[in-house]
Amino acid sequence: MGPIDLALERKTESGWGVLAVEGEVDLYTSPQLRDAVNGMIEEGHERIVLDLTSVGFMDSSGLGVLVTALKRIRERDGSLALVCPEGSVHKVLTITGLDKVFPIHRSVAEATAA
Amino acid sequence: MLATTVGRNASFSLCVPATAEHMTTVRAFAGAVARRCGFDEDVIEDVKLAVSEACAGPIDAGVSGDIDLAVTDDGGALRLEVRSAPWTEPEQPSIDGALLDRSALVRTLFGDAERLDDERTTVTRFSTASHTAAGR
Repeated sequence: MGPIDLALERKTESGWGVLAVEGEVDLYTSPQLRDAVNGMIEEGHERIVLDLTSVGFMDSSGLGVLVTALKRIRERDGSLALVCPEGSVHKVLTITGLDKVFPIHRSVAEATAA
Repeated sequence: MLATTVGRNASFSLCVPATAEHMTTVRAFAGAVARRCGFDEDVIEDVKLAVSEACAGPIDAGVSGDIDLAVTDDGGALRLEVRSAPWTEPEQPSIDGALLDRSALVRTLFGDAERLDDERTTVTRFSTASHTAAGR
């Protein structure tokens, strides 16, 4: 992992595939997020949580990855939830209207219990 | 390349190749100038996001050459300008009415944002409110 790459950690909790993301998601790093999420979808995960707690920045490159992933998961009647506390990422989700598209939770435990 | 004029109405400029790997540097530069000029963290985050969108647009569209970012401290307000070779915004994903258009996002953050196109360049300009007017 280089200095501007994302740290991506996968685990399973309560039947959900959880991807914890750390770093800044922009035009350069968003393909890393896309590949990780696509990998989970192709492995058959139908309920996925993206934990964005440690994402310090996200622009519309990253939002595009989230939207494309949600479309793919909806085609499989699955669910894609976000964990995102108050902050800059939550703000960009709000001003683009995506806070009304994605279920947004304060913790992974809350997301997987929903 | 980095050029700086320090003092009243200080101006700062950064020129980077139009490739995605430099996005972090561009954001850090814009954020550092905004912080130096006394803006609060909310405005700094908005500046970083708007600059990221304004620079990612031409890079995503595949322009060649450089991206030029100019930031001017205009007596308490920041004026920002991103200049590149001409580009057309690629189609962005959308869902349930949510907006992912880069230019529109910049306009949402900074209402005076404008885009100027000619045969040789595309320029995105926007400015912050004055931090002194915000009671600082």
